[in-house]
Amino acid sequence: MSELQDAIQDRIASFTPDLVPPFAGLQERRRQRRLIRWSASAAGVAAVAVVITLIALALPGGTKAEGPVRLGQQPATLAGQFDGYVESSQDTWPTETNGRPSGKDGAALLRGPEHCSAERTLWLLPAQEGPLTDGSPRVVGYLRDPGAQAPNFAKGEEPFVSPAVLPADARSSGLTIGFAELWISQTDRLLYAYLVNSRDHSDVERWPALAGLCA
Amino acid sequence: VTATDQGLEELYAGSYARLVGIVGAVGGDRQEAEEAVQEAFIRLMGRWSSVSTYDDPEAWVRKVALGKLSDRKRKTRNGLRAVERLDAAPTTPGPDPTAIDLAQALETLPREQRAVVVLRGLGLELLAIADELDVPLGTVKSRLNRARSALTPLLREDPADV
Repeated sequence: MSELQDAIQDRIASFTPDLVPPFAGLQERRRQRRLIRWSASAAGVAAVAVVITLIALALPGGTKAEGPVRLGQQPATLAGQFDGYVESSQDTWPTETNGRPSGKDGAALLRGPEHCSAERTLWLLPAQEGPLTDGSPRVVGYLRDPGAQAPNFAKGEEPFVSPAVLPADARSSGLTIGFAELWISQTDRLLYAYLVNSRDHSDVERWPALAGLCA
Repeated sequence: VTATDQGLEELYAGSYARLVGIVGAVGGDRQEAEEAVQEAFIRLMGRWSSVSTYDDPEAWVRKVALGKLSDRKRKTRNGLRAVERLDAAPTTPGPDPTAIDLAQALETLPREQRAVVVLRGLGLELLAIADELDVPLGTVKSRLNRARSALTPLLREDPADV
């Protein structure tokens, strides 16, 4: 084997994971996608609209995102609703009411805007399927701010914590981003969310809930 | 579990880690590679009845994953910092110190050239590489030549071996 082939094999080995995520996770992601993400009409126009709910909750000034976001236009459009935010990822988020599945929400992870000196922050914004009903969001948004760049936009006194301890009543929200899984505790879900390494439930981070958005 | 699911699951279990290694070697980001390979398998679920008849279904997944990688590179400039941090670092030992220069040179190659070099290193013929990357054969040849030119000063042996 040549020297270069050795180097290539070394490089491949360095990126090869030790663990394989469960096949069931892929099946679930596919199912979610068929339900929501790819529910486009034959004309190529998204049949399911997504309305951002967080904004109604979070902004002290009552600022709201305008109108529905068409899934067919995502991911660019969701980030486009907010000046300066850059979208990193988007996924679906099963929701429950009284312990029973009640729907699916979208969720986008955005990098914070430079004009608020928040470019090293991540903003997890949920988006609700269908129109707003009573104005009380089922889910809230969360902020990852390890550098304390945007403390005014986080609820509670304790900002980002890592490593954090999962509360005893915490459970997976169903939202996964790569190998990170969002866990929620019913007792403090309005204040914090927990990002957990879904491989072995290690490396827990606690993110505070959003108090507002940098506009 | 149906027989169809079982065949698909076996392919997944047997090839996932290898595919992530290859796609990661091309893209330089394991998290991104895992996402791309998972996306490719999700796509395979809807096409398994036909792809399972191919000589090499794994090659189909690899091609789709490499395509996903390109899509993601175009769409997303910013990585998912939190996930990268949560994602465990590769535990496989790195390259031998004597090969560090070469490893760094591979890292700094343009991704398009690195894709050709990595696939060539797997033993793929140039035509197969062209098909897998969805580019003309001439493009594969020129990328390989440019990569060899960049790597030659670091090699003690003939780079034409790759």
